Amino acid sequence: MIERLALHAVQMKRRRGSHTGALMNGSEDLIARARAGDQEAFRLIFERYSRPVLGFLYDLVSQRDLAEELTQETFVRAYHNLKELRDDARFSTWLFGIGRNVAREALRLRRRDNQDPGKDDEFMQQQEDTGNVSPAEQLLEKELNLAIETALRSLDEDKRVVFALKAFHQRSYHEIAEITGFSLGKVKTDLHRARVEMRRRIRPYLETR
Amino acid sequence: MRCEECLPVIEEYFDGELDGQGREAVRLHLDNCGACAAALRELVKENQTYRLYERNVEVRPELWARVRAGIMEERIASAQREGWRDWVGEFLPGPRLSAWLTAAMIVIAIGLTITVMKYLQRPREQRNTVSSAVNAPEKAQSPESTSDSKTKPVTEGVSSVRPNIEDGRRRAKPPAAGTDQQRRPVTVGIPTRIRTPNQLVREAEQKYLAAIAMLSRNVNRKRSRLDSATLAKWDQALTSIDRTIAGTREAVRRHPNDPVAVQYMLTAYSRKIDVLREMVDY
Repeated sequence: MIERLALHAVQMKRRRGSHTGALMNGSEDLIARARAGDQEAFRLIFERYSRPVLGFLYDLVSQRDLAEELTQETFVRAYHNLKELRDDARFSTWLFGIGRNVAREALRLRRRDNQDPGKDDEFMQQQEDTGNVSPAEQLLEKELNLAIETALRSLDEDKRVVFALKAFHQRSYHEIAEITGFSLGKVKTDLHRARVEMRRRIRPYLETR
Repeated sequence: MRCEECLPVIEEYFDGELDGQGREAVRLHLDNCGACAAALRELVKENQTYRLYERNVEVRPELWARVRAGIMEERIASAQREGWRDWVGEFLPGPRLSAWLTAAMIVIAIGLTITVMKYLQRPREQRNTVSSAVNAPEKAQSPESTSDSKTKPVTEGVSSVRPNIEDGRRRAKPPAAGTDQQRRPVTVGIPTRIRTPNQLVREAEQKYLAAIAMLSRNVNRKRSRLDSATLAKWDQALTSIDRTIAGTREAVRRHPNDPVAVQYMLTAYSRKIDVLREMVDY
């Protein structure tokens, strides 16, 4: 188990390495420049935050293409509303808040049109092309991903967003409350319930590992 | 610290959300309690598993191009909107409200509403006092003489305090025969069944209490099926709401004509009902 974790950490590092270039500039400086109309600064902001935002939106909508569209919309809105950002140090929380609103609108539309989100086949295909991992590990990872994704999708919208922000994006309760607009009490309650539900669904998988 | 105190906050401890004192208390308990330590280990294990969750969220290079195009489109659309607004502004010049001006107008509107409500209450109380001395024989006047047009302002006054009272489910029932309401003296031309805002608030409170009693019974039946951590969180929430209810009731008792105190009290009742409903539906 520890070996697998270490291997995973190395893979994660390798994947994130491509983004280190963007970390040369301070976020607040970039935001100030972008606010003044500097598109290059905004591109660097995009490089820095697009992956977590895309990941967060994917957690909410479970569809790669839709998550990309929503990421696009999130950054367009962020660019045009940069002047409304009061505290540059909280840019990431503010950006996630925009993403959350964009996703909520999309989910509401989807409910209205009564579309079944369906499984993202392309994602599942891409999950198979994982490169340097052994077939057994690939299988384990695939099973795990499927189990977690299915469990995540079974949560209602509020619990899913709170759980994703905590478990996958390591946000504090206050940040989650700020992003979602929920009270701190609701954040705690929803997170606890989400954990209970996720545990119930993941447990059979964990026991076989 | 006991397990019943530790388990409800163990997630907060794990998430690093407890303050120094709370964190230390949990840590000390975990050192001596195998069951709670096992619960923490389960959380750690789950969290490690979630960290292994991989989804394909590599950003494709064309996404930035799409964002840039979106920014340009929005700029053009915004410029067109601004142009249209300027064009309209030339023909229909109007005041442009700043955020501060808008906030000031809202405060004035709230102030006016409160003043009007107080004004509506005061004359009625005065009339009732005068009438008790002058028109005592009229207290047997038929309830059928109630005039809707006369009752309306009072009801509106209360509905602005708590609109839900006007909701069909919570609408106050007419008082039963023989109640103080019917025996209350009235003035000439003023119907006997006009209820003061205070009476309506009391009736709303009674209805909330009845609903709370009913839901509490359902919750008590369900308690044995709930896990201890969830139950402890809910009990904590209910205790806190009960404290709020007690506080707001005291405030209303001291200032029965203060609409803000009334609103807080009814909101606290409503919150308790929400929590109890959640427990029943859980």
